[in-house]
Amino acid sequence: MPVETIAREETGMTEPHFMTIAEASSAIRARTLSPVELTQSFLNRIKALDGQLDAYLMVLEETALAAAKQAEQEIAAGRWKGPLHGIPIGLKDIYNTAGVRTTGHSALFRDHIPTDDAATVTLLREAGAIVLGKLATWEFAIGGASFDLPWPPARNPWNTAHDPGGSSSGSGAAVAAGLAMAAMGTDTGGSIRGPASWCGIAGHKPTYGYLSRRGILPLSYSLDHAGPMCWTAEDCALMMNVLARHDKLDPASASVPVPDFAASLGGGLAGVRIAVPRNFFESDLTCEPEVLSAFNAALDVFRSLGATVTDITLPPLGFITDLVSLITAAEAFAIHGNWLRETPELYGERGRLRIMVGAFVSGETLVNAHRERARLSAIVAAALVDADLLMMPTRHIVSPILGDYDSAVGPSLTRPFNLTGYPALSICDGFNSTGLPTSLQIGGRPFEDHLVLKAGDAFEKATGFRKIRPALAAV
Amino acid sequence: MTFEDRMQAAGLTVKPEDQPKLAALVKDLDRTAAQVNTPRSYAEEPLSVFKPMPVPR
Repeated sequence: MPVETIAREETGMTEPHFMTIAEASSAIRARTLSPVELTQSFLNRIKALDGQLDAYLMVLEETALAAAKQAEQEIAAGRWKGPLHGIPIGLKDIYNTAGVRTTGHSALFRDHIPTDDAATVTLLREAGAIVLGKLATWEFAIGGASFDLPWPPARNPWNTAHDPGGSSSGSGAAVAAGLAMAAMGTDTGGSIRGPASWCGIAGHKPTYGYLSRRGILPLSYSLDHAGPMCWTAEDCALMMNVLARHDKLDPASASVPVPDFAASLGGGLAGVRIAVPRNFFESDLTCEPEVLSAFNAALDVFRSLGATVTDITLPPLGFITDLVSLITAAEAFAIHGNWLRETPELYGERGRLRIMVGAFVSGETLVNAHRERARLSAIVAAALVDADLLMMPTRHIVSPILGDYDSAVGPSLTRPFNLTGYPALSICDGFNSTGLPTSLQIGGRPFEDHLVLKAGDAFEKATGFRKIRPALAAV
Repeated sequence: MTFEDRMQAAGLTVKPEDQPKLAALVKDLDRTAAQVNTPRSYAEEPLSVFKPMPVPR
Protein backbone atom coordinates (compact mmCIF):
# COMPACT_ATOMS: atom_id res chain seq x y z
CA MET A 1 0.00 0.00 0.00
CA PRO A 2 1.37 3.45 -0.83
CA VAL A 3 2.40 5.43 2.22
CA GLU A 4 2.06 8.86 0.70
CA THR A 5 -0.75 10.97 2.07
CA ILE A 6 -2.68 12.84 -0.59
CA ALA A 7 -2.92 16.61 -0.42
CA ARG A 8 -6.53 17.70 -0.16
CA GLU A 9 -8.39 20.81 0.70
CA GLU A 10 -11.55 21.54 2.60
CA THR A 11 -13.58 23.80 0.37
CA GLY A 12 -15.95 26.46 1.48
CA MET A 13 -17.47 26.09 -1.99
CA THR A 14 -16.93 29.79 -2.54
CA GLU A 15 -14.41 29.43 -5.35
CA PRO A 16 -16.44 29.37 -8.59
CA HIS A 17 -14.62 26.29 -9.90
CA PHE A 18 -15.58 24.32 -6.80
CA MET A 19 -19.25 25.30 -6.82
CA THR A 20 -21.81 22.66 -7.65
CA ILE A 21 -24.20 23.21 -10.54
CA ALA A 22 -26.98 23.74 -7.98
CA GLU A 23 -24.99 26.50 -6.26
CA ALA A 24 -23.70 28.16 -9.42
CA SER A 25 -27.03 28.13 -11.21
CA SER A 26 -28.74 29.86 -8.28
CA ALA A 27 -26.05 32.54 -8.32
CA ILE A 28 -26.27 32.89 -12.12
CA ARG A 29 -30.02 33.21 -12.00
CA ALA A 30 -29.72 35.83 -9.25
CA ARG A 31 -27.09 37.55 -11.42
CA THR A 32 -24.50 37.46 -8.65
CA LEU A 33 -22.32 35.15 -10.77
CA SER A 34 -21.49 35.93 -14.38
CA PRO A 35 -21.35 33.01 -16.86
CA VAL A 36 -18.48 34.80 -18.59
CA GLU A 37 -16.45 35.12 -15.38
CA LEU A 38 -17.32 31.55 -14.44
CA THR A 39 -16.24 30.20 -17.83
CA GLN A 40 -13.07 32.29 -17.77
CA SER A 41 -12.20 30.98 -14.32
CA PHE A 42 -12.45 27.39 -15.61
CA LEU A 43 -10.39 28.23 -18.70
CA ASN A 44 -7.72 29.82 -16.49
CA ARG A 45 -7.69 26.80 -14.23
CA ILE A 46 -7.39 24.42 -17.18
CA LYS A 47 -4.40 26.43 -18.44
CA ALA A 48 -2.78 26.36 -15.03
CA LEU A 49 -3.42 22.77 -14.02
CA ASP A 50 -4.27 20.50 -16.92
CA GLY A 51 -0.62 19.98 -17.77
CA GLN A 52 -0.54 17.76 -14.68
CA LEU A 53 -3.72 15.87 -15.52
CA ASP A 54 -4.01 15.65 -19.32
CA ALA A 55 -7.77 15.58 -18.86
CA TYR A 56 -8.43 17.68 -21.97
CA LEU A 57 -7.61 16.66 -25.53
CA MET A 58 -8.90 19.98 -26.83
CA VAL A 59 -9.94 23.21 -25.11
CA LEU A 60 -12.52 25.29 -26.98
CA GLU A 61 -11.70 28.65 -25.43
CA GLU A 62 -13.10 30.92 -28.11
CA THR A 63 -16.43 29.17 -28.61
CA ALA A 64 -16.85 28.64 -24.85
CA LEU A 65 -16.44 32.35 -24.15
CA ALA A 66 -18.77 33.25 -27.02
CA ALA A 67 -21.42 30.88 -25.63
CA ALA A 68 -20.90 32.29 -22.13
CA LYS A 69 -21.40 35.85 -23.42
CA GLN A 70 -24.57 34.77 -25.17
CA ALA A 71 -25.81 33.12 -21.96
CA GLU A 72 -25.07 36.25 -20.01
CA GLN A 73 -27.02 38.40 -22.45
CA GLU A 74 -29.97 35.99 -22.44
CA ILE A 75 -30.12 35.90 -18.66
CA ALA A 76 -29.79 39.70 -18.45
CA ALA A 77 -32.73 39.94 -20.85
CA GLY A 78 -34.82 37.73 -18.56
CA ARG A 79 -34.53 34.59 -20.69
CA TRP A 80 -33.05 32.19 -18.11
CA LYS A 81 -33.32 28.69 -19.59
CA GLY A 82 -32.85 26.60 -16.45
CA PRO A 83 -30.17 25.28 -14.11
CA LEU A 84 -27.62 24.46 -16.85
CA HIS A 85 -27.73 27.95 -18.36
CA GLY A 86 -24.17 29.29 -18.23
CA ILE A 87 -22.70 26.12 -16.67
CA PRO A 88 -19.28 25.06 -18.07
CA ILE A 89 -19.03 21.38 -18.94
CA GLY A 90 -16.69 18.98 -20.75
CA LEU A 91 -17.43 16.17 -23.21
CA LYS A 92 -15.70 12.81 -23.43
CA ASP A 93 -14.11 12.82 -26.85
CA ILE A 94 -16.43 10.20 -28.26
CA TYR A 95 -19.35 12.67 -28.26
CA ASN A 96 -19.65 14.13 -31.74
CA THR A 97 -19.33 17.90 -31.92
CA ALA A 98 -20.29 19.68 -35.14
CA GLY A 99 -17.23 21.09 -36.85
CA VAL A 100 -14.98 20.10 -33.96
CA ARG A 101 -12.65 17.11 -34.08
CA THR A 102 -13.95 14.02 -32.27
CA THR A 103 -11.12 11.53 -32.02
CA GLY A 104 -12.09 8.70 -29.69
CA HIS A 105 -8.54 9.36 -28.39
CA SER A 106 -7.31 7.37 -31.40
CA ALA A 107 -5.01 8.02 -34.33
CA LEU A 108 -7.65 6.33 -36.47
CA PHE A 109 -10.04 9.26 -35.88
CA ARG A 110 -7.38 11.97 -35.57
CA ASP A 111 -9.00 13.94 -38.42
CA HIS A 112 -12.63 12.99 -37.78
CA ILE A 113 -14.74 16.17 -37.83
CA PRO A 114 -18.45 15.41 -37.46
CA THR A 115 -21.07 17.54 -39.13
CA ASP A 116 -23.55 17.26 -36.28
CA ASP A 117 -23.54 17.32 -32.51
CA ALA A 118 -24.50 14.17 -30.64
CA ALA A 119 -28.18 14.34 -29.64
CA THR A 120 -27.26 14.79 -25.97
CA VAL A 121 -24.83 17.60 -26.84
CA THR A 122 -27.63 19.37 -28.70
CA LEU A 123 -29.83 19.10 -25.59
CA LEU A 124 -27.07 20.48 -23.37
CA ARG A 125 -26.39 23.42 -25.68
CA GLU A 126 -30.13 24.17 -25.94
CA ALA A 127 -30.23 24.23 -22.13
CA GLY A 128 -27.47 26.85 -22.17
CA ALA A 129 -24.52 24.70 -21.04
CA ILE A 130 -21.09 25.98 -22.11
CA VAL A 131 -18.83 23.35 -23.73
CA LEU A 132 -15.26 23.92 -22.48
CA GLY A 133 -13.65 21.18 -24.51
CA LYS A 134 -13.19 17.52 -25.37
CA LEU A 135 -11.94 15.13 -22.71
CA ALA A 136 -9.55 12.20 -22.67
CA THR A 137 -10.88 8.65 -22.87
CA TRP A 138 -9.50 5.17 -23.28
CA GLU A 139 -9.17 4.55 -27.02
CA PHE A 140 -12.72 4.19 -28.35
CA ALA A 141 -13.76 3.69 -24.69
CA ILE A 142 -12.03 0.33 -24.29
CA GLY A 143 -8.70 -1.17 -23.34
CA GLY A 144 -7.30 0.89 -20.48
CA ALA A 145 -4.92 3.78 -20.00
CA SER A 146 -2.52 3.68 -22.95
CA PHE A 147 0.83 5.34 -23.57
CA ASP A 148 1.04 4.55 -27.31
CA LEU A 149 -1.75 6.88 -28.51
CA PRO A 150 -1.40 10.37 -30.00
CA TRP A 151 -2.33 11.92 -26.62
CA PRO A 152 -1.26 10.85 -23.12
CA PRO A 153 -3.73 9.21 -20.72
CA ALA A 154 -5.48 11.35 -18.11
CA ARG A 155 -4.21 11.28 -14.53
CA ASN A 156 -5.96 11.20 -11.17
CA PRO A 157 -6.13 14.61 -9.46
CA TRP A 158 -5.97 13.03 -5.99
CA ASN A 159 -2.51 11.79 -6.89
CA THR A 160 -1.24 12.35 -10.41
CA ALA A 161 0.81 9.15 -10.31
CA HIS A 162 -2.48 7.27 -10.06
CA ASP A 163 -5.11 6.13 -12.55
CA PRO A 164 -8.34 8.15 -12.80
CA GLY A 165 -10.14 5.05 -14.06
CA GLY A 166 -11.84 4.74 -17.40
CA SER A 167 -12.89 4.82 -19.95
CA SER A 168 -14.32 8.30 -19.14
CA SER A 169 -10.94 9.15 -17.62
CA GLY A 170 -10.73 12.82 -18.58
CA SER A 171 -14.33 13.39 -17.47
CA GLY A 172 -13.63 12.00 -14.00
CA ALA A 173 -10.35 13.87 -13.61
CA ALA A 174 -11.72 17.20 -14.87
CA VAL A 175 -14.78 17.21 -12.60
CA ALA A 176 -12.84 16.17 -9.49
CA ALA A 177 -10.14 18.79 -10.10
CA GLY A 178 -12.57 21.63 -10.78
CA LEU A 179 -11.64 21.84 -14.46
CA ALA A 180 -15.31 21.37 -15.48
CA MET A 181 -18.45 21.72 -13.42
CA ALA A 182 -19.81 18.56 -15.04
CA ALA A 183 -18.89 16.23 -17.86
CA MET A 184 -20.51 13.68 -20.09
CA GLY A 185 -19.25 10.11 -19.95
CA THR A 186 -20.27 6.81 -21.46
CA ASP A 187 -20.56 3.45 -19.75
CA THR A 188 -20.41 0.05 -21.48
CA GLY A 189 -18.98 -1.95 -18.58
CA GLY A 190 -18.49 0.73 -15.92
CA SER A 191 -16.84 3.59 -17.77
CA ILE A 192 -18.82 6.31 -15.98
CA ARG A 193 -18.88 4.71 -12.55
CA GLY A 194 -15.27 3.47 -12.54
CA PRO A 195 -13.70 6.90 -12.99
CA ALA A 196 -16.36 8.43 -10.73
CA SER A 197 -15.23 5.96 -8.08
CA TRP A 198 -11.49 6.54 -8.37
CA CYS A 199 -11.86 10.32 -8.77
CA GLY A 200 -14.32 10.65 -5.89
CA ILE A 201 -17.20 12.20 -7.83
CA ALA A 202 -20.79 11.25 -8.67
CA GLY A 203 -21.31 9.35 -11.91
CA HIS A 204 -24.70 8.19 -13.09
CA LYS A 205 -25.28 5.44 -15.62
CA PRO A 206 -28.94 5.93 -16.48
CA THR A 207 -31.38 3.19 -17.41
CA TYR A 208 -30.59 1.92 -20.92
CA GLY A 209 -32.79 3.89 -23.30
CA TYR A 210 -33.27 6.97 -21.11
CA LEU A 211 -30.52 8.96 -22.89
CA SER A 212 -29.93 8.99 -26.62
CA ARG A 213 -26.71 7.38 -27.86
CA ARG A 214 -27.05 9.00 -31.29
CA GLY A 215 -23.88 10.76 -32.32
CA ILE A 216 -21.67 9.04 -29.76
CA LEU A 217 -18.94 6.79 -31.20
CA PRO A 218 -20.32 3.33 -30.43
CA LEU A 219 -18.50 0.48 -28.73
CA SER A 220 -21.29 -2.01 -28.00
CA TYR A 221 -24.74 -1.17 -29.28
CA SER A 222 -26.58 -3.16 -26.64
CA LEU A 223 -24.42 -2.14 -23.67
CA ASP A 224 -23.45 1.51 -24.32
CA HIS A 225 -25.00 4.14 -22.07
CA ALA A 226 -24.49 7.91 -22.03
CA GLY A 227 -24.59 9.67 -18.67
CA PRO A 228 -23.56 12.63 -16.51
CA MET A 229 -20.52 12.90 -14.25
CA CYS A 230 -20.70 15.66 -11.61
CA TRP A 231 -19.47 16.53 -8.15
CA THR A 232 -22.81 15.54 -6.56
CA ALA A 233 -25.82 13.31 -7.15
CA GLU A 234 -27.96 16.46 -7.08
CA ASP A 235 -26.01 17.83 -10.04
CA CYS A 236 -26.48 14.52 -11.87
CA ALA A 237 -30.23 14.95 -11.32
CA LEU A 238 -30.09 18.46 -12.79
CA MET A 239 -28.24 17.09 -15.82
CA MET A 240 -30.73 14.23 -16.18
CA ASN A 241 -33.58 16.74 -16.32
CA VAL A 242 -32.09 18.03 -19.58
CA LEU A 243 -30.67 14.78 -20.98
CA ALA A 244 -33.47 12.24 -20.53
CA ARG A 245 -35.49 12.65 -23.72
CA HIS A 246 -36.93 10.17 -26.21
CA ASP A 247 -34.98 10.19 -29.48
CA LYS A 248 -36.87 8.58 -32.33
CA LEU A 249 -33.60 8.33 -34.29
CA ASP A 250 -31.94 6.13 -31.63
CA PRO A 251 -33.39 2.60 -31.97
CA ALA A 252 -32.74 1.92 -28.28
CA SER A 253 -34.36 5.11 -27.03
CA ALA A 254 -37.26 4.52 -24.66
CA SER A 255 -40.48 6.42 -25.08
CA VAL A 256 -41.44 6.65 -21.43
CA PRO A 257 -42.63 9.42 -19.11
CA VAL A 258 -39.68 11.32 -17.66
CA PRO A 259 -39.91 12.54 -14.06
CA ASP A 260 -38.38 15.72 -12.65
CA PHE A 261 -35.24 14.10 -11.22
CA ALA A 262 -34.22 17.12 -9.16
CA ALA A 263 -37.68 17.52 -7.66
CA SER A 264 -37.50 13.87 -6.54
CA LEU A 265 -34.61 14.64 -4.17
CA GLY A 266 -35.03 15.24 -0.45
CA GLY A 267 -37.63 13.97 1.97
CA GLY A 268 -35.59 11.21 3.63
CA LEU A 269 -35.40 7.51 2.90
CA ALA A 270 -37.97 6.11 5.32
CA GLY A 271 -39.31 2.81 4.05
CA VAL A 272 -36.71 2.42 1.31
CA ARG A 273 -35.54 -1.20 1.15
CA ILE A 274 -31.89 -1.76 0.30
CA ALA A 275 -30.57 -5.17 -0.79
CA VAL A 276 -26.85 -5.89 -0.61
CA PRO A 277 -25.50 -8.75 -2.79
CA ARG A 278 -22.61 -9.54 -0.47
CA ASN A 279 -21.44 -12.52 -2.51
CA PHE A 280 -20.34 -10.04 -5.20
CA PHE A 281 -17.67 -8.43 -3.01
CA GLU A 282 -17.10 -10.83 -0.13
CA SER A 283 -16.69 -14.15 -1.95
CA ASP A 284 -16.70 -13.54 -5.72
CA LEU A 285 -14.19 -10.73 -5.26
CA THR A 286 -11.91 -9.54 -2.48
CA CYS A 287 -12.33 -5.91 -1.52
CA GLU A 288 -9.59 -3.85 0.02
CA PRO A 289 -10.41 -3.68 3.75
CA GLU A 290 -10.74 0.11 3.72
CA VAL A 291 -13.15 -0.05 0.76
CA LEU A 292 -15.26 -2.60 2.61
CA SER A 293 -15.26 -0.71 5.90
CA ALA A 294 -16.27 2.53 4.13
CA PHE A 295 -19.12 0.66 2.45
CA ASN A 296 -20.36 -0.88 5.69
CA ALA A 297 -20.19 2.52 7.39
CA ALA A 298 -22.21 3.96 4.50
CA LEU A 299 -24.92 1.35 5.07
CA ASP A 300 -25.19 2.61 8.66
CA VAL A 301 -25.80 6.09 7.29
CA PHE A 302 -28.61 4.76 5.11
CA ARG A 303 -30.11 2.98 8.14
CA SER A 304 -29.96 6.25 10.07
CA LEU A 305 -31.85 7.90 7.20
CA GLY A 306 -34.71 5.42 7.62
CA ALA A 307 -33.85 2.72 5.08
CA THR A 308 -33.75 -1.00 5.82
CA VAL A 309 -30.81 -3.14 4.69
CA THR A 310 -30.95 -6.84 3.80
CA ASP A 311 -28.22 -9.10 2.43
CA ILE A 312 -29.05 -11.14 -0.68
CA THR A 313 -27.19 -13.46 -3.06
CA LEU A 314 -27.05 -12.90 -6.81
CA PRO A 315 -25.46 -15.08 -9.54
CA PRO A 316 -21.64 -15.16 -9.60
CA LEU A 317 -20.11 -11.81 -10.46
CA GLY A 318 -17.29 -13.40 -12.44
CA PHE A 319 -19.68 -14.91 -14.95
CA ILE A 320 -21.63 -11.67 -15.32
CA THR A 321 -18.35 -9.84 -15.94
CA ASP A 322 -17.22 -12.35 -18.55
CA LEU A 323 -20.57 -12.23 -20.32
CA VAL A 324 -20.36 -8.44 -20.66
CA SER A 325 -16.80 -8.78 -21.98
CA LEU A 326 -17.93 -11.29 -24.60
CA ILE A 327 -20.86 -9.22 -25.83
CA THR A 328 -18.75 -6.05 -25.86
CA ALA A 329 -15.98 -7.70 -27.85
CA ALA A 330 -18.35 -9.16 -30.44
CA GLU A 331 -20.30 -5.94 -30.93
CA ALA A 332 -17.14 -3.80 -30.96
CA PHE A 333 -15.53 -6.03 -33.59
CA ALA A 334 -18.63 -5.66 -35.76
CA ILE A 335 -17.94 -1.90 -35.69
CA HIS A 336 -14.14 -1.95 -35.93
CA GLY A 337 -13.50 -5.16 -37.92
CA ASN A 338 -12.76 -3.55 -41.27
CA TRP A 339 -10.48 -0.91 -39.75
CA LEU A 340 -8.65 -3.57 -37.76
CA ARG A 341 -8.07 -5.59 -40.90
CA GLU A 342 -6.94 -2.60 -42.96
CA THR A 343 -5.10 -0.31 -40.54
CA PRO A 344 -4.43 -2.12 -37.26
CA GLU A 345 -1.36 0.06 -36.72
CA LEU A 346 -3.62 3.08 -36.14
CA TYR A 347 -4.84 1.57 -32.87
CA GLY A 348 -2.94 1.38 -29.60
CA GLU A 349 -2.04 -2.08 -28.44
CA ARG A 350 -4.60 -2.34 -25.67
CA GLY A 351 -7.59 -1.14 -27.70
CA ARG A 352 -6.55 -3.16 -30.73
CA LEU A 353 -6.33 -6.48 -28.88
CA ARG A 354 -9.44 -5.90 -26.75
CA ILE A 355 -11.53 -5.33 -29.86
CA MET A 356 -9.83 -7.93 -32.07
CA VAL A 357 -10.80 -10.70 -29.68
CA GLY A 358 -14.40 -10.14 -30.80
CA ALA A 359 -13.53 -11.77 -34.13
CA PHE A 360 -13.45 -15.06 -32.28
CA VAL A 361 -17.07 -14.96 -31.07
CA SER A 362 -19.34 -17.18 -33.15
CA GLY A 363 -22.92 -16.30 -34.04
CA GLU A 364 -24.13 -19.16 -31.85
CA THR A 365 -22.16 -17.84 -28.89
CA LEU A 366 -23.37 -14.26 -29.27
CA VAL A 367 -27.03 -15.28 -29.48
CA ASN A 368 -26.64 -17.57 -26.48
CA ALA A 369 -24.88 -14.77 -24.58
CA HIS A 370 -27.94 -12.59 -25.13
CA ARG A 371 -30.19 -15.45 -24.01
CA GLU A 372 -28.08 -15.77 -20.88
CA ARG A 373 -28.34 -12.01 -20.44
CA ALA A 374 -32.14 -12.34 -20.40
CA ARG A 375 -31.97 -15.11 -17.80
CA LEU A 376 -29.66 -13.15 -15.49
CA SER A 377 -31.68 -9.96 -15.92
CA ALA A 378 -34.79 -11.81 -14.77
CA ILE A 379 -32.96 -12.87 -11.60
CA VAL A 380 -31.92 -9.29 -10.83
CA ALA A 381 -35.48 -8.11 -11.57
CA ALA A 382 -36.80 -10.65 -9.08
CA ALA A 383 -34.40 -9.33 -6.43
CA LEU A 384 -35.86 -5.87 -6.98
CA VAL A 385 -39.39 -6.99 -6.13
CA ASP A 386 -38.64 -7.14 -2.41
CA ALA A 387 -36.05 -4.37 -2.53
CA ASP A 388 -36.04 -0.88 -3.98
CA LEU A 389 -32.28 -0.45 -4.35
CA LEU A 390 -29.15 -2.56 -4.67
CA MET A 391 -25.95 -1.34 -3.00
CA MET A 392 -22.32 -2.41 -3.17
CA PRO A 393 -18.93 -0.78 -3.50
CA THR A 394 -18.34 0.60 -7.02
CA ARG A 395 -14.77 -0.68 -7.25
CA HIS A 396 -13.12 -3.22 -4.96
CA ILE A 397 -9.90 -1.22 -4.84
CA VAL A 398 -8.95 2.44 -4.74
CA SER A 399 -7.13 3.97 -7.68
CA PRO A 400 -3.90 2.11 -8.51
CA ILE A 401 -0.76 3.58 -10.06
CA LEU A 402 -1.38 4.63 -13.67
CA GLY A 403 -0.27 1.79 -15.94
CA ASP A 404 -0.66 -0.89 -13.26
CA TYR A 405 -2.98 -3.14 -15.22
CA ASP A 406 -2.86 -6.09 -12.85
CA SER A 407 -4.40 -4.61 -9.69
CA ALA A 408 -7.86 -4.04 -11.10
CA VAL A 409 -8.34 -7.30 -13.02
CA GLY A 410 -11.08 -9.69 -11.97
CA PRO A 411 -14.83 -9.49 -11.59
CA SER A 412 -16.35 -6.05 -12.05
CA LEU A 413 -18.99 -4.67 -9.70
CA THR A 414 -20.25 -2.24 -12.31
CA ARG A 415 -21.09 -4.72 -15.07
CA PRO A 416 -24.31 -6.19 -13.66
CA PHE A 417 -25.96 -2.86 -14.43
CA ASN A 418 -24.73 -2.85 -18.04
CA LEU A 419 -25.97 -6.39 -18.49
CA THR A 420 -29.42 -5.52 -17.15
CA GLY A 421 -29.52 -1.93 -18.36
CA TYR A 422 -30.70 -0.90 -14.88
CA PRO A 423 -29.66 2.49 -13.47
CA ALA A 424 -26.61 2.79 -11.22
CA LEU A 425 -24.94 5.73 -9.51
CA SER A 426 -21.46 5.87 -8.03
CA ILE A 427 -20.82 8.32 -5.20
CA CYS A 428 -17.89 8.95 -2.88
CA ASP A 429 -18.30 7.23 0.50
CA GLY A 430 -15.00 8.15 2.10
CA PHE A 431 -11.23 8.13 1.75
CA ASN A 432 -8.64 5.52 2.53
CA SER A 433 -5.69 6.10 4.85
CA THR A 434 -3.67 7.65 2.02
CA GLY A 435 -6.47 10.00 1.05
CA LEU A 436 -7.70 8.26 -2.09
CA PRO A 437 -11.50 8.16 -2.53
CA THR A 438 -13.60 5.07 -1.89
CA SER A 439 -17.03 4.68 -3.40
CA LEU A 440 -20.49 3.27 -3.15
CA GLN A 441 -22.73 2.10 -5.99
CA ILE A 442 -26.51 2.43 -5.86
CA GLY A 443 -28.56 0.47 -8.39
CA GLY A 444 -32.28 0.46 -8.95
CA ARG A 445 -35.17 -0.70 -11.07
CA PRO A 446 -35.32 0.38 -14.70
CA PHE A 447 -36.62 3.93 -15.12
CA GLU A 448 -36.42 4.51 -11.37
CA ASP A 449 -33.28 6.60 -11.70
CA HIS A 450 -34.97 9.26 -9.56
CA LEU A 451 -34.89 6.97 -6.52
CA VAL A 452 -31.23 6.05 -7.14
CA LEU A 453 -30.33 9.74 -7.32
CA LYS A 454 -32.48 10.55 -4.28
CA ALA A 455 -30.61 7.96 -2.20
CA GLY A 456 -27.24 9.26 -3.40
CA ASP A 457 -28.20 12.84 -2.64
CA ALA A 458 -29.46 11.92 0.84
CA PHE A 459 -26.15 10.18 1.62
CA GLU A 460 -24.05 13.07 0.35
CA LYS A 461 -26.03 15.58 2.39
CA ALA A 462 -25.80 13.43 5.53
CA THR A 463 -22.01 13.13 5.26
CA GLY A 464 -19.18 15.59 4.74
CA PHE A 465 -17.33 13.96 1.86
CA ARG A 466 -18.42 16.59 -0.69
CA LYS A 467 -16.46 19.25 1.17
CA ILE A 468 -13.10 17.69 0.34
CA ARG A 469 -11.37 18.33 -2.99
CA PRO A 470 -7.99 17.28 -4.33
CA ALA A 471 -5.45 20.06 -3.82
CA LEU A 472 -3.63 20.81 -7.06
CA ALA A 473 -1.11 23.61 -7.29
CA ALA A 474 0.14 25.21 -10.48
CA VAL A 475 3.72 24.18 -11.25
CA MET B 1 -9.10 -25.17 -35.70
CA THR B 2 -5.87 -23.62 -34.49
CA PHE B 3 -5.56 -20.08 -33.20
CA GLU B 4 -3.63 -19.17 -36.36
CA ASP B 5 -6.39 -20.68 -38.55
CA ARG B 6 -9.00 -18.65 -36.70
CA MET B 7 -6.92 -15.50 -37.17
CA GLN B 8 -6.70 -16.16 -40.87
CA ALA B 9 -10.42 -16.88 -41.14
CA ALA B 10 -11.13 -13.51 -39.51
CA GLY B 11 -8.76 -11.82 -41.95
CA LEU B 12 -6.61 -10.48 -39.13
CA THR B 13 -2.88 -10.01 -38.94
CA VAL B 14 -1.19 -9.48 -35.63
CA LYS B 15 2.35 -8.49 -34.76
CA PRO B 16 4.28 -11.53 -33.51
CA GLU B 17 4.77 -9.93 -30.09
CA ASP B 18 1.00 -9.35 -29.77
CA GLN B 19 0.05 -12.91 -30.63
CA PRO B 20 0.46 -14.43 -27.14
CA LYS B 21 -1.54 -11.58 -25.60
CA LEU B 22 -4.36 -12.04 -28.09
CA ALA B 23 -4.26 -15.80 -27.64
CA ALA B 24 -4.68 -15.34 -23.87
CA LEU B 25 -7.71 -13.09 -24.43
CA VAL B 26 -9.20 -15.64 -26.83
CA LYS B 27 -8.69 -18.40 -24.28
CA ASP B 28 -10.69 -16.41 -21.69
CA LEU B 29 -13.39 -15.76 -24.25
CA ASP B 30 -13.60 -19.43 -25.25
CA ARG B 31 -14.08 -20.34 -21.60
CA THR B 32 -17.03 -17.93 -21.38
CA ALA B 33 -18.41 -19.23 -24.69
CA ALA B 34 -18.41 -22.77 -23.30
CA GLN B 35 -20.49 -21.53 -20.36
CA VAL B 36 -23.16 -19.92 -22.56
CA ASN B 37 -23.33 -22.60 -25.26
CA THR B 38 -25.27 -24.97 -23.03
CA PRO B 39 -28.51 -26.83 -23.79
CA ARG B 40 -31.47 -24.44 -23.70
CA SER B 41 -35.16 -24.53 -24.47
CA TYR B 42 -35.92 -23.30 -27.97
CA ALA B 43 -38.36 -20.91 -26.33
CA GLU B 44 -35.61 -19.09 -24.44
CA GLU B 45 -35.29 -15.91 -26.49
CA PRO B 46 -32.50 -13.35 -26.30
CA LEU B 47 -33.25 -9.82 -25.17
CA SER B 48 -32.02 -8.45 -28.48
CA VAL B 49 -35.05 -9.45 -30.53
CA PHE B 50 -35.83 -7.31 -33.52
CA LYS B 51 -38.51 -4.66 -33.04
CA PRO B 52 -39.97 -3.05 -36.14
CA MET B 53 -40.37 0.71 -35.97
CA PRO B 54 -43.53 2.45 -37.21
CA VAL B 55 -43.14 3.91 -40.70
CA PRO B 56 -43.34 7.72 -40.53
CA ARG B 57 -46.22 9.09 -42.66
